[in-house]
Amino acid sequence: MKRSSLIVKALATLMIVIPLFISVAPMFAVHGQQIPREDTVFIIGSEWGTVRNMNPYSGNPTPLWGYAYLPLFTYSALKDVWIPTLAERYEFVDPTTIRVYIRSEAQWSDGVPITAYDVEYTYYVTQQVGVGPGAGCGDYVAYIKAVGDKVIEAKIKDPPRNYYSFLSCVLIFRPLPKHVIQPIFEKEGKEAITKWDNVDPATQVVSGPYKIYYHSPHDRIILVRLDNWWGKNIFGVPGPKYLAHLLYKDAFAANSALEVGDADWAGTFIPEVWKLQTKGIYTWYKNAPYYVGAGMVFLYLNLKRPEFQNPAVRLAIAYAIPYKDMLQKAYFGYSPQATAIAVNDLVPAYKKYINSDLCTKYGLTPDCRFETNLDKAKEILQKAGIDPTKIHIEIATPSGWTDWNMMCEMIAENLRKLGFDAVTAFPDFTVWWDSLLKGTYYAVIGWDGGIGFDHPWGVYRYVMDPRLKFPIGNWEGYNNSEVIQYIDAIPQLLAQPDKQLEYIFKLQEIFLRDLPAIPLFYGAHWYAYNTKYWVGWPNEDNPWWWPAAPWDAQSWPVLFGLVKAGQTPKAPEWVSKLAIPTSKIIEDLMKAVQVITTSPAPVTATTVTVTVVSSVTVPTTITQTVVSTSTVTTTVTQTVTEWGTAIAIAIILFIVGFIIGWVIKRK
Amino acid sequence: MISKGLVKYLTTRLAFLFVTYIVSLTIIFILLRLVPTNPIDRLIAQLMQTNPNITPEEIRQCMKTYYELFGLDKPLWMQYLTYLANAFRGELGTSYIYVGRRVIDMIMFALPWTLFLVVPSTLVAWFVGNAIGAYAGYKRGSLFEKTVLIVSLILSQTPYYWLAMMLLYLFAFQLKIFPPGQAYPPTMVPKLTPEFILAVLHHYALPFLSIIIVALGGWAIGMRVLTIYELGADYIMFAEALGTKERTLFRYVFRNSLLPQVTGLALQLGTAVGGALLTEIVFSYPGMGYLLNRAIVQTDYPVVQGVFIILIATLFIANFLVDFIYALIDPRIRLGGEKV
Repeated sequence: MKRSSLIVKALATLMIVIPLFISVAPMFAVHGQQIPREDTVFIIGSEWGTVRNMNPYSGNPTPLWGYAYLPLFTYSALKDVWIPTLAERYEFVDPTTIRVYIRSEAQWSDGVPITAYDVEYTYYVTQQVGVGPGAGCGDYVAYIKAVGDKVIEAKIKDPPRNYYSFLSCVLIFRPLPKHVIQPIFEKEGKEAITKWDNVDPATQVVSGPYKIYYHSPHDRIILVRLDNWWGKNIFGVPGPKYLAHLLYKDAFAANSALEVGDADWAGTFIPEVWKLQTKGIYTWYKNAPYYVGAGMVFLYLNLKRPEFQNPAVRLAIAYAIPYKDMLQKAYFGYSPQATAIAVNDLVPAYKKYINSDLCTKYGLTPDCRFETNLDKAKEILQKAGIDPTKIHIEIATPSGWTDWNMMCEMIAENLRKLGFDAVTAFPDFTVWWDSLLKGTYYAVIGWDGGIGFDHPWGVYRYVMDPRLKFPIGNWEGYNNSEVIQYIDAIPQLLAQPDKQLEYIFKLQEIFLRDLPAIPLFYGAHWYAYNTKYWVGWPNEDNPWWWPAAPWDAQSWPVLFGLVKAGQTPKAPEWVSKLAIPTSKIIEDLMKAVQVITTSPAPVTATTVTVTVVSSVTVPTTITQTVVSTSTVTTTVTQTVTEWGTAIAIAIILFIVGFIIGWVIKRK
Repeated sequence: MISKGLVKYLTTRLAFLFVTYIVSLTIIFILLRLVPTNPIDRLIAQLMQTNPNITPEEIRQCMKTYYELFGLDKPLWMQYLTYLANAFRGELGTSYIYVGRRVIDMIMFALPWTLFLVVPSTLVAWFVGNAIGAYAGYKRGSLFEKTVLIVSLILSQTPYYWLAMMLLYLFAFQLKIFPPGQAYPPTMVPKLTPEFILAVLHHYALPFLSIIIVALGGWAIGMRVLTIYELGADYIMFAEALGTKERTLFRYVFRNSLLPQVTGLALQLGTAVGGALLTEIVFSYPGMGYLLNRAIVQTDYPVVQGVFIILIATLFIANFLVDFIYALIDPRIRLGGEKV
């Protein structure tokens, strides 16, 4: 009997295993060829865990989506210019209305022309679904509609009459093929369009020079060049035949692949990146800081905790942070210390927001930075009558973020020297995030929303607006209604730069007085490239395009400058030939305003705006330029986990199970 | 003819299985929701990091859309009932993190890789381990036996992920004989060609070895003891006294000691669906363990639930089939022989 039972068990197992094998066997019959290494650009750093799909209505498509679907205009932050991409030109009908003309030759990869109706319908679906191209634009755009086959018209929402948001919403718009999405959306509805994955090579229809070739969410995505794409007479064809992104276990494994030449284009944090230069791997700058600094990184103290509500405590902490040492040791010098007023002064145009008088008044260096000075920190605490030994501070960053973890250690060490009861914690990311959501944390290192046209207003809004709340903004829970008037007024004051600057300085003064968050450094725009197989990458010496990180959807022109190693690269001529500077757009807007003879109040304001803006050239370092009004009320439904119900159900089920079992046994 | 007793027995078994299934599903549901976070956070954080210029308006829109889409705006009991209903219909839902991807597709990709790794390695380890163990047991007292015993003891107690990392370090990073992970090379797309199969085998070697080496020790130790025990049996003494040939004698001993090991093998194979979790993680091998690990780290509830539902369902079905066949061949098992 024993033997027979064993055989039976083994048989049963086989019976399960074999059908499973058979059921999945067809998966390996995937068509395809081996893609040649020398024809492929391998990307690292965009996808972790799973390769995302190519549907923007999922809200979270892979950034490689941007190589297959082009925008109407592409913005280069470095040169502050716009490249007409799907669009040929724009025109202001009046100061509140813009028309965008789509190129006559533009067509989808299946031969159907790209029309204004594609744009209109794509935006319509976004409005219905909530996410997708142009999500969140509803606050600034009154409508986007087709007024002809190739003509789109858009009107600004007034108020808030925010030109920056309006223009970026309309110009950087990426349409999807109406003839593909309409059947899905209309027949199957909202949920179907959100869950559509758009990665089938047989059915994908694109507007750009690349199309899906192979997609497996578990390990890779490969795009293939369309040699005969509609834009080849305008833009040419990109160098690499294939673009591939594999999944790696972690950043270390991905960086090793770059180092040995298995990957070409990196958007990852690489420790000691200068050591890779001997292997032909470079970043934007050849020397420190190697990467271009973009968004701000802060030390956020939880202001809901009474012990941190005294500004003197925050100020003392700000003086205690070992900025230089910390950035050198933990961040490999990839960024200088940030200004204490959260202005990114690496970008020359933002230097005008640095007010040295204000800074020195508040005891900062003339370039608006805190000095690390423990004696001064002690003095501040003493003056305010604070006993640091009674204050517990736990600085938390997610586990595995080694650079930030090390910074925490170094900050905590200095705080202990002041007498604070300072410790560090490196919980799992989800736990860390949850402590921010619930407001149970002490202190964290965290980011802001990045920089754009709206700098530094965007940062102040993100950090100080009491109407925002984590994760949308205001991580620390700063609650001062005094700032609202300035936050609301600044974007409306583009017409009056002096007044605008005055208000910005007012915000800066409040920022320095209260120090709601402590600016630490600028987060780097991770971009590194390997010259083993491909050359022509943009960099400091040959800055023909920026942004250049593979995870940035505005990086698609980079591929047009690449050639195989050994050949002579040439930056695409069309970049400078097609480029429209932002100042030109503003001039055109100005002309539109002047046409209006009878000028009601808002138009007058706009006239002034124009003179102002044209005198101010604002080169920005980041692609999308979004100024947002602070009329946003942050009502986000958070599910409250109902433990009571869950546990009750569990107990009932257990009891039911036991009763059934008991009854059966009794019988 | 199926008797009344058999029907009753089967009904009882089925009812019991049903309740157990619900209870285990419930445990998974509760365990996942005990994690102090929710999947939307992960998604939003990812959005913010890969998209530094995302506007507050866009984040707000996304959060709202996702809560509705995933049904997370509904009360927990409703989510639970939907989950139970879906689990019984075999509908595993779609991933939260990888929006729109069906869980069943994700599992069906991972499962063959896992079975391909775990089943052959378990079988090979079992055969080799038992052969060595039996021979060592048979040659009791010899130097061979002592060596096997010590080596096996060390191997069987080695943490297999540690061994995996050592193999990786030695063969992939130092000697560069084998690739450092994944199931096939970056430049290849899966298809049935000799090159692809060779490449897969090349990538297969290290994870395969790391499972075999550790498992082998365990089987060898067990088999050695069983053989020694068997050697003490009367029939062996009798056979020895008769002057039976050594080879025949060994065959008798081997066969008779093998029985308990077969049970062990069946049990091992039963858990194969779950994958070799840590081995797969160390080698980035795209199997069930790797999938599960990713899903847990990303709090992707539907995927974690899906993997467990498949695992539980497979084990239950296997158990049930075994019981059913037992009941057919052995009437004594049917409820204590009541009314047979």
